[in-house]
This record gives sequence, structure tokens and C-alpha cells, in this order.
Amino acid sequence: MRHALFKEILPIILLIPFFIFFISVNVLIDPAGLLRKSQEKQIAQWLNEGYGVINAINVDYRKIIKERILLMQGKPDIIIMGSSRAMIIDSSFFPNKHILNCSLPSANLEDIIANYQVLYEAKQLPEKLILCPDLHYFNAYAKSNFHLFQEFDNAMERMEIVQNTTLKDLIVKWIDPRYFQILSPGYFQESIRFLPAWVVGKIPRPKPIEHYETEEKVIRPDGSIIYESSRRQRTQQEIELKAERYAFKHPEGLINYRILDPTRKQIFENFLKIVKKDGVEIEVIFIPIHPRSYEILSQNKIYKIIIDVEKYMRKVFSSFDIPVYGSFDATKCGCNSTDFYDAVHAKPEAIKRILSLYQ
Amino acid sequence: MLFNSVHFAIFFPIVVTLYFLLPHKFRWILLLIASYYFYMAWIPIYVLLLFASTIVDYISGLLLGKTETEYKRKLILLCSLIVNLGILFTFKYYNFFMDSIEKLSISLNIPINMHYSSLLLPIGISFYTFQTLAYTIDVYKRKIKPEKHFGIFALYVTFFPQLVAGPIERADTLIPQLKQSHDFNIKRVSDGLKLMAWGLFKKVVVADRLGMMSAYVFANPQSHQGPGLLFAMIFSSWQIYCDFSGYSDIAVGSAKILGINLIQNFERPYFSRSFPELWRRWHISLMNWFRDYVFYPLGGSRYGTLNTCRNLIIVFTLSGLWHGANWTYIFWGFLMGVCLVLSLLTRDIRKIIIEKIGLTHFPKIHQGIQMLMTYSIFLFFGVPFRAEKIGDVFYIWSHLLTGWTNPTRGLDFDDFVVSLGMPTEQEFNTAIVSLLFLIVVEAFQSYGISLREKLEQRNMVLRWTCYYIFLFLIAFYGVWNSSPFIYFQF
Repeated sequence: MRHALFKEILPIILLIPFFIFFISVNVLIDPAGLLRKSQEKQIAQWLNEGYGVINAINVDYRKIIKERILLMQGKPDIIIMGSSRAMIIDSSFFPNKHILNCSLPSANLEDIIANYQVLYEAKQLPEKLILCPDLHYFNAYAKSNFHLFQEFDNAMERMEIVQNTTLKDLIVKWIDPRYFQILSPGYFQESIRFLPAWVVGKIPRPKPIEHYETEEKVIRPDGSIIYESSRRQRTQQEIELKAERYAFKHPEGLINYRILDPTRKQIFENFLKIVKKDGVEIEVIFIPIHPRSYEILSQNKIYKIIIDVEKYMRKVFSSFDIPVYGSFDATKCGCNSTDFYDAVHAKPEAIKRILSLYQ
Repeated sequence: MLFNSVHFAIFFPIVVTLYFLLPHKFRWILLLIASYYFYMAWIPIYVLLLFASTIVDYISGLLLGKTETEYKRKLILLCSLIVNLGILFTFKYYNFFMDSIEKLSISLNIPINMHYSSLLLPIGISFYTFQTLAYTIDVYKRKIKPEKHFGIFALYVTFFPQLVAGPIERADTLIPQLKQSHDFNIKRVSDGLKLMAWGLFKKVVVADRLGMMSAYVFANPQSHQGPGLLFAMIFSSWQIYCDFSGYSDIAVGSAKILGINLIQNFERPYFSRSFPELWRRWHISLMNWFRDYVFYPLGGSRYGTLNTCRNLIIVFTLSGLWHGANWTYIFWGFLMGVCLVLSLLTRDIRKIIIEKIGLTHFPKIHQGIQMLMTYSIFLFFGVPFRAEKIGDVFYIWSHLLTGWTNPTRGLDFDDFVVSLGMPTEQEFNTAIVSLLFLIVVEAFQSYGISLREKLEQRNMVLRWTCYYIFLFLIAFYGVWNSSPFIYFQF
């Protein structure tokens, strides 16, 4: 009887080692340090102490920014908020000012609002907020799953907006979605790539540096980044190809973007209201995207909504008397295809040139 | 919820475990809750459409069962058709209709500004609408009795393995299985898991990798010449097949684990020796639906050649429209219908020519040529299925023979494949190797040799070593960015 039962479930028993191995590899190698809870705090400390940081791959920038703000001594004069597109804005843009770049990769509207709320709650509001908006802010289907939920909820309360919470929202609120990566085959692929480095104990982990002459991507103490040399040294042909591929391959944040979501518009406008009410001055920089990408997207039946996004935001900013620099359309702000690292990331010189046009 | 997501990897084992732990009488409740959860993982509010469709067809079925008067029965059927097709039209075809009117008005110099809808296409709407329509029509035709148990009927409409991309199941095969008690059977579970793994391989290793190139070239055909366009056409044809048949395999496999047999949706269609055969082996459940509910009511092949040809063209044009609200799909369906008609009309002539040139003496070569011809026709006339505009279709067709004197346009081969949308040459090589592996396995199957069954006869160590290697290959070479299945949009 017992033998028959064992024979019956043997194939399932034999499958178990595969899943154990799969999960073990992800947990032990853990190339992004998902299970190393303290790494964001450590990075924040290094940055606040004036060091640059390298090898900060797949770290949670939201937590780093929050930790930095909480540990910060003295308010910054200027805060910059946006996505990775805005992360190249550094102190040299604003001489003699104490700046903190609070931008983070793939930042969504929720991130901007939550990070602002962190500043508000920590009583670290700056004199000026420089907002670098993105195209996907009003796409209801590009909602962020990773933002700082508590701060966002608090901000929504301040803005007097009632939220519709879905089951998925509740799940990701209580279980950090990053932990699901432990079950992800994509993470397994990454872990296997790092296997040789793990065996010899040389997995690149975040590290503080004093001098920035390195080939790696560096986060600087002002929160800005210097891209890795492989990105900085791309040929123009590679950049053009990246620009085309980005636009032709249905950009992630723009999928299902049929309308500017009314709820998100309301949130955005109320956010500007509370920033104004807090006495923080706002300026806006529309960082352009590569002219070829913009051309392809704006001619596409679905993605031409990007034109409406800028129109709408300009109208709102104008109603709040907020100065606006630049445009998503590179041709409208004196940029050309040599001003980009890829489809969406403009070079710092391009942004400096945009700002100089208005001075 | 996607079959190739972590979400499903957690969801499915929980459902299966609870399913076999629960007594039979509660299992339908579990499956119904699981199915609704599965659907709600995308846009929860759209579950209301699913529910509306369920209610309408459940009530229609009950009323049809009680009503004997013919005109009243017709009225009930008509109401069900209007509601179901009305929902489908509103969500899937409204914008296409408005856009076509607007373009027509512009071309006639009387421009009208149409109002467009911002509603998103609910996932799987075409599948579950056709499934529920089949039920109501079958009850109307008295082929089946109406299902009185609302829960079981709701489960028939929403059964999660086949809810969003089929196979489109008939009530007389699925409902009795949903009512039966299924014990845990390791052979069935093991077969189901193998089928799921094979489907996952087709989807994440083959389809999604081939899709990197085909999506890029088809979005921008004007930047490419003959070699690039041909590569994209071939990759696209296999991508669509692997994507959809991979989904079907996972659907059939997961239902099998639960003890429920779904229809096999694909039977190696690219190994078909004629166009009609290809369409008997491609998306079988949809083709059966069109055969039973459109082709036969139109008269089928009963009223002469001309009527048969007309009916075939109507059926295939409609199937094109079913696939998507775009003129490219309608054009594709029409062309498939025309090819099928031509294939039937030229059957005798082709037979004579083949006998005259003596090809019948070399049956293997003959079969090979037939397969190649069938695939080539499907490939060439399949362009509208992937093209974004009709103009792109003609561009691709007219430029297929260009650029062959310098196929890589002066680039190194690795730069050439990158210029076609592949991230690296290594990805391209992986795509080719995995595709060849799939073709070899299917070639064996088409000669009646199942490599899986052969493997099952081997000793345990060898067998499990192969299973493990296969699982690692899927995990390591899969494209795990959770690309939606192409057929979700239909």
C-alpha cells in the first residue's frame, strides 16, 4: 500500500529538487541583493557622507531616497524630481545651491507624490522643486507597483482624494513585490550569469568611491548619476538604432494609453496645489526624447497621445504660473539626435543648452 | 493573468491542491472563484461583461428549454445574439467602424468628426462570446438541453484554462466533464505537466524570441529589404504558431491536470500538404465553430461549386474580422478564403500535372514539395495578419525580391541581425536552434513518432535527466518579460 502510494507520487517528488535548486540559486546568489535589506540604508549613508556609489544595480531607489531624506542634515535649496531621464541633472546646473536629485528609474506619478510627501513629513521641503515630467504620468495602465505606499496614501489624504483600492494593490502593499523575484525565471537567468562570480566570492555589491573616474555607473552625493562608459561611448549608429527600436517596440509605459486618465489628472493638479500651498516654488523641465523616437510615436495612431500629454501639462502649469523649459519634442527645444544616449535619455549638455535658451 | 508569469506559477498549484483536497460537490465553486480571480487579475471591472454574458445566455438557455413556439424561440435567440454581439461590437469593433466611416467621409470630401471610445478591449472577449453563442444556438437547435445549474454554467463560460484564448469548447463536451468527479491520477497529472512544459517552451523560448525580430520589422517594413522582410515573415509565421499553440498546450495541459479534456487546437499545421488540410489543423476549435454556425447555415457545400466558394470566402473573411478590428485582418481572411477556393478548384488539374511529370513515383519528394508549397502560400498571404497597414502589406510583397545582391546591406552578420531587431547575434542563434528543435520534434510527430513517448519507455535516470535538462533550458533560455499572448487581443 505504502509502496504503491510512493510510486504514485514519485514523479512529483522528483520534480521538487528542481524547484529547490531554482529557488536556492535565486536566494543564495541573489544578484540584486533583494534579500539584503540593509543595502539601501547603507547606500543612503554613503551618499549623505559625500561618497559616490558604484554597483548599485537593481537597488530600490525609492528606499535610498527616503533614507537619505530622513538622515539628511539641513534642507536642500533645490529638489529635482523625475525619472532616470532627470538623473543626470547635477549640482553644476545650479552653482552655489545645495541640490538633491530625488529622481529614480521608471518613476511614475505615484513616486513623485510619495517622495514629495517624504520631504514634507521629514520637514525637509526645499525652496524650489524642479519637476521633470514623463509621458506616461496619465496612463492608467502604467500604474507603479513599487512606490512608497504609506507616504502616497498620506499625500492622497492631504489632497483629499479618495482612492479605489484593488485586491492587487492590497497584496503589493503588504508583500514587497520584489520578493516575488525569488520565484522568477528571469531572476534565475540573472543569478546563473552571476554564478561564476558568486563561486569566487566576487559578486559586485554596492561600494562607496571618492573619485568618479570609473567605467561603472556612479550615483553621486547630490543624487545625480554618471552613466557607465558603455552607454556614454555608444556610436551614433547604435543610438539611432536604439531610438527606432524603442519607438517601434511599443514602449512599456505607453501601452494601452488611449486617454489621459481623469483620476490621474486630478491627482496631478491637486499635487501642484499642495506644493504651491506648502510655499515651494516649482519649475518644470520637459526633457526631450530622441527626435526619431518622437517622430515615430507622434505619427502612430495610438501613441500620438504623447502630443496631448504635453499640451495638457503646459495648460495646467500655465494655470499655476509655473515656468516651463524644454519640450518632449527635441526639435522644439534646439536638440538633435546627437544629444542623446538612447531613445529617452538626453545628455546633460543638451539639458544645459535647453535651460540656457530661457536665460 | 498570464500563463508565463510568477502570478500563475503561484496560483495554479494552489488551485490544483485545493481542487483535489475538496470533496467533489464543492469543486465547481473553487474553479469558479479561481476563474473569476484569473480574469480579474487584468482589469477587474471587465468581469462584469463576463458576468453579463453568463446571465444572458443562462436565461436564454432556460427560456429556450421551456418555449415551444418557434417564433418565440427565434426571438429569444435573437435577443441573446444582439446582447452578445452588441457587447463584442462595442468593445472590439466600434472604433474600427467609426474610423472607417471617418476615412470614407474624408475621401468623399464630406469630413465627419466621429466620436471614439476609450474603452480597452477586454481580454478573451471573442473567445467567450463565441463559446456562449455556441451554447445558445445549440440549445435553440435542440442539440443540447439547457444547463439548469447556474454555477456549472458560469464555470463553463469562465473555466480559467481556456477562458482568455480558447480552445472554444462546446457545452456538450465541457459541461458533462465539469460535473464529473475526477480523482487524482498521477499519469494524467504527469501528462498535463509535460504538455504545459512543452507549451511554455513554445511560448517563452521560441515565440517570444522570434517575436523580437518580427515585431520590429513589421512595425517598420520600409527600412528593410527582401532578406530582412523574408526573415521577419518566416519568424512571424512561427511566432504566431508557437505563441498560440503554446498557449493552447498550457491550457489543455492545465485542464488535464484537473481531469478535464479540452479539444486539441493545433495539429502541426505547417506540415500540411494542402491548404484545406492546413485549415483543418490550425485553430481547430474556431474553424469548427465557423463551420457549424456560419458555413453550414449558409448552405455549406451543398449547392454547387459557386455557392461553396462564396460560402468559404464569407467564412474566412468573417474569421479575419474575428481576429481583429482592422482592414488588414479582413484582407487576410479574404485572401485565405480565396487561396482555399483556388486550392479546391485546381485540385484535379494539379493531380493531372503531378501524374504527367511523374512526381507520384517519388512520394516522399512529392509530400515535401506539397508541404513547402502550402507553407509558402500561407507565409506569403499571411503578411496582412502581421502588417499594421494595408500599405505595408503591398510594400512587403513588392520588396521581397529586392536587396538580394547584398543581403546583409554591407553589414557584418551580427550587425545585420541587430538591425532586424534582435538584441544580439547570440539571441538570433538561440532562436534558430530552438526553432529547429521544435521543427524536428514536430517532423517526428508527423511520422507518428512521439519523442515524449519514446522517452517515457526509457529508464528513470535517463528520463529524468532529460526532463531536468528541458526544464533548465526553458528557465535559462526563456524570454521572461511576461509578453502577453498574441491571441489575447482577439
